[in-house]
Amino acid sequence: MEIIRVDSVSKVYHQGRVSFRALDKVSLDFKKGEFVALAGPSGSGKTTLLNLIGSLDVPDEGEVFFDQKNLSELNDSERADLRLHRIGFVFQAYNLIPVLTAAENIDYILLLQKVDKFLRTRKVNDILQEVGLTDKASNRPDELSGGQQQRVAVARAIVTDPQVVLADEPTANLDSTTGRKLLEMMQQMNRTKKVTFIFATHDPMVMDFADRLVSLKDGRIVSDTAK
Amino acid sequence: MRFFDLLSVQISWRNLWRNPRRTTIILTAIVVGIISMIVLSAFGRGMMEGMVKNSIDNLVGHIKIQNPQYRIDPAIDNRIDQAEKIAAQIGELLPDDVQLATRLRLDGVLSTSREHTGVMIVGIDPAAEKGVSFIGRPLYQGTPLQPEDARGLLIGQGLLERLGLEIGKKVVVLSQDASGEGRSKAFRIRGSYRAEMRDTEKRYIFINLKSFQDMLAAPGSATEISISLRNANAYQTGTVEDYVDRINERLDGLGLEATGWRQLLPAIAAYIDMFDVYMLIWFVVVFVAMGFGLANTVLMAVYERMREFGLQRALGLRSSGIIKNVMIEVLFLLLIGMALADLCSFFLVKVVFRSGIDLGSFGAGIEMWGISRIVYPVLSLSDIVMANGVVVLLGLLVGLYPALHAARFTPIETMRHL
Repeated sequence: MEIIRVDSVSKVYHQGRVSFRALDKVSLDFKKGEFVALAGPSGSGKTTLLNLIGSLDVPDEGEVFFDQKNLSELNDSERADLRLHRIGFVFQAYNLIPVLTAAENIDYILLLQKVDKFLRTRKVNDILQEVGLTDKASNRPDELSGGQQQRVAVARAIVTDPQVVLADEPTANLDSTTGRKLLEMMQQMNRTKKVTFIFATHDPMVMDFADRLVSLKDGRIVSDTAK
Repeated sequence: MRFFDLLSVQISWRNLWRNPRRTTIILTAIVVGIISMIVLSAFGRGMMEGMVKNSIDNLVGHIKIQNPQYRIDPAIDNRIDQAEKIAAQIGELLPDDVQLATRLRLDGVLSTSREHTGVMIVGIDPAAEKGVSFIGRPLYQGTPLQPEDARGLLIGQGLLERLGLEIGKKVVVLSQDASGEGRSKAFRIRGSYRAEMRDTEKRYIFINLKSFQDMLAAPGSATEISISLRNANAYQTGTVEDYVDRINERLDGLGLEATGWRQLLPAIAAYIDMFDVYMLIWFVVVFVAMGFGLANTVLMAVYERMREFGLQRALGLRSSGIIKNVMIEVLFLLLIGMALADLCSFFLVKVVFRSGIDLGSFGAGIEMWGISRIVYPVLSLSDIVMANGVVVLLGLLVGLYPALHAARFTPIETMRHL
C-alpha cells in the first residue's frame, strides 16, 4: 500500500545569479513498511527529495502526496502538524536540543503532541529502554557520544509512532560499528512496528541494509532496485 | 499547548544561561535602568513631598480662611472680625484631630537702636501652632512665647544674626491700624527659630495674637484661620477639597472664603500634577536605551540558535511556538531584572538613603524652590508599579522583534546554516 507518491517533482535553488536544478521531474512511490535508501553523490538531490517528502520544503513543479494528501495544498501550520504527527526525522548532526536531557528531548515531541504526562513518562522510559539508553536519560547531548545522540534522535523519531521516518545521512558522523548498531536498531523497528524508513545516504552500509535502493544523479533517478 | 508548559519554560530558562556573561550584562543593564527609574522617582517624590510639607508648614496650612480681599491687599482693613468665634464654628464641622490656628499677619517694621527693617508681623496663639506650622516646633535658642506674654517676640535666627541682635534684647515693632495710623510697641526677643528656608527666617517675626490685636486696637481680629489636617496624604487631591466645600457652605454670607493649599500654592500643585507625567517620560527614555540592548542581546541569542529553531520547526513546532519560547526567555530576563532591581531600589531607599540626601551644596538654588536641604526619598507603590509595568510591557514589545525573526526561519534555511 502506497504511503508516499512523488509525482514529476522538480526543485530549483537559486544562489545569486546562479540556478541549480536539484531535482528534475522525479517520480516514485514508497509503500508502507519499506526500508529504502536514496543513494547518490553529493548534489544528486537525495536530501532535497527527503525534504520535499517531509514537507520541509515545497517543490517548484510537480506534487508530493502523503497518504493521498497533496502536500502543496497544506499551509505552514498544517505541514507542521503533519511532521509532528506522522513523520519522524533523524538528521546527520545537530539533531537534539542541547539544553534538554536525552529523556527531555524525547519528551519534547510528545509534549508538542499534547500527550498527557503519565503516558509521556511511560513512552519515554519504554523507548529509552528500547534504544538501550535508560542509564543516559538524564544526560544532555554534550554528555553523550555521537552514536548515543543518534540513538536518542531515532528514539525521538519513533516514539510518536509515525508512519514514516526520514533519516538524512544518519551514520555520516559515526564509526562503522556504531553506525551498524544504529541501522540494526532501525531495521528492527521497521520490522516490528512496520514504520517506513527512507534514508538519504552515500554510506554503502546503509545501502546494504536497505530493502530498496533508489539511486539519484544530477537530480534524476538512475536506478530503483528492490532487493 | 498551554502557554506555560513546563518544558518550554525549562528550555527558555536553560537557554538563558547558555551564555551567562551575555545574560549577566543585559540583566545588569535592566537592573540599573529600573533602579534609576525607581530611585529617581523616589527622590523626586521625596523632594515634592518635602516641598509641599515645607510650604504647608510655612504658615499656609492645608486650608486657609481669609477675607478674599486680604489676598489682594494684605491690610488690617481686610481682616476677619470675631475670628475666634468663627474658628470655633468651623471646628465643629471638622474631625477632632484637625487643628486650627488663628493669626493676625500684617506687614510692619522692626526697629533696633541701629537699624529698621521691613518684616511680616504675625500674631499667633503659641499653643495652637504646635503641629500646624514651623513656629510650633522647638526654638533654635531662647524660650517659647507664653500665652500671657504681651511683650515677648520670636525672631528668625537669620534676621537675628543680620541685625546683630541677641536673645533678651529690646526691639520696636511698627504697623498700621485700621484708621491708617502707625502703631508701635516695644518687645523683647524671647527666642529665635530656624526655618527650612532662610528667607522665612529673615522675614517673619512672631508675637502673641492678643498683644498684636491690642497694639492695633483691633480686638478679636485676625487675618487668617489656618486649618491643618492630620491625614498624611492630605497633600493629595480629594480630602482637602471636600473640607473646603463644607467650610465655604458655613461661611456663606460672612464675606470670608476658605481656600485649599492647591489654590494657595498653584505652582507646587501644578508641579505635583505633572510629576507622574515627568516620571512616565523618564521611564520611557530609560527604557528606550535599555530596549535597544535587550533587542540586540535576544537577537544575538536567536541567531546563535538558528539551527535549533530549524530543528524544532522540522519536528513540528509551529512558528507561534518559536515566538512563545523566545518571549518566555525575554520574560525571564525582564522578571529577574525587575526582581533584582526592586530589591536593590528598596535597599537603597530604605537603608542607604534612610537618613536623607543632603542637597546643602546646592544652597540657595534649592531653597528658592522650597525644597528641603535634606531630601528623604519616598518609595511609592504607584512608581514601582509604573516602572515595572513600563519595563515589562515595552520589554515584551521589544522582545517580539527577535521572536518574530526567529519564527521566520524555515527548517531548510536553518539546516543549511552550519
